[in-house]
Amino acid sequence: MAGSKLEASHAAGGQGVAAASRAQASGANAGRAALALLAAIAAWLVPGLGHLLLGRWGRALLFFCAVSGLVVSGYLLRGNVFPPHSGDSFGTLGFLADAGTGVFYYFSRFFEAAGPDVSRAAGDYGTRFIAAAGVVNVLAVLDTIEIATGRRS
Amino acid sequence: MICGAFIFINSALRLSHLGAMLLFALLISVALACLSQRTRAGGLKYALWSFALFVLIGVGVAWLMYPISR
Repeated sequence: MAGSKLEASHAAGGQGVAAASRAQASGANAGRAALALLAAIAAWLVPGLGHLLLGRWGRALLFFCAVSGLVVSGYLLRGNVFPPHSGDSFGTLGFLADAGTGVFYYFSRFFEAAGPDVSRAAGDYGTRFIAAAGVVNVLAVLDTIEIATGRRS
Repeated sequence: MICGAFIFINSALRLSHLGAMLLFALLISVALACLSQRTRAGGLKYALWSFALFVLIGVGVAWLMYPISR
């Protein structure tokens, strides 16, 4: 009788510990998800900032240099920056790629005071530079999410 | 002063076709190395290899297109 009471109390204690560890794991998962979301938004807005928030200094610096180098070179070559409502699917794809550069998208008017000029080859190269910068930054955002959720070291 | 700096940079960035390709290859190689490699040595090796392939394939395609460019 006393033995069965002891076993029941052990079982109840075990269930309590399991429930507490489940709650702790759930809290940790929620924390990781929030960190991943924050890091992803930061990484999109400013290239490299998401990695910086996660303590990856070197990677953050390299991403910032690569993306900003591409996008500023693209602007200085007078590449085309696609507006949000271009009216055709190619323009929409171009806008999505360009918007991947985050705040740099809004700097286009500052760097390209004279506007795009795709009549020269350099301007056409610039368009590709800006789109490539956006795609690279989107890949960096995905990398940030994987690091924040623990799927990647 | 800032405007002057940008006018200077604007006028300085007169890239040739080869110059634009080299700059693009360098920056994309660095970004891809960061994304795909976790160690510094692996990343450096990947970036150098990627840059070399970009340049070799770019120059190779340019030579293949040379006869139809005129």
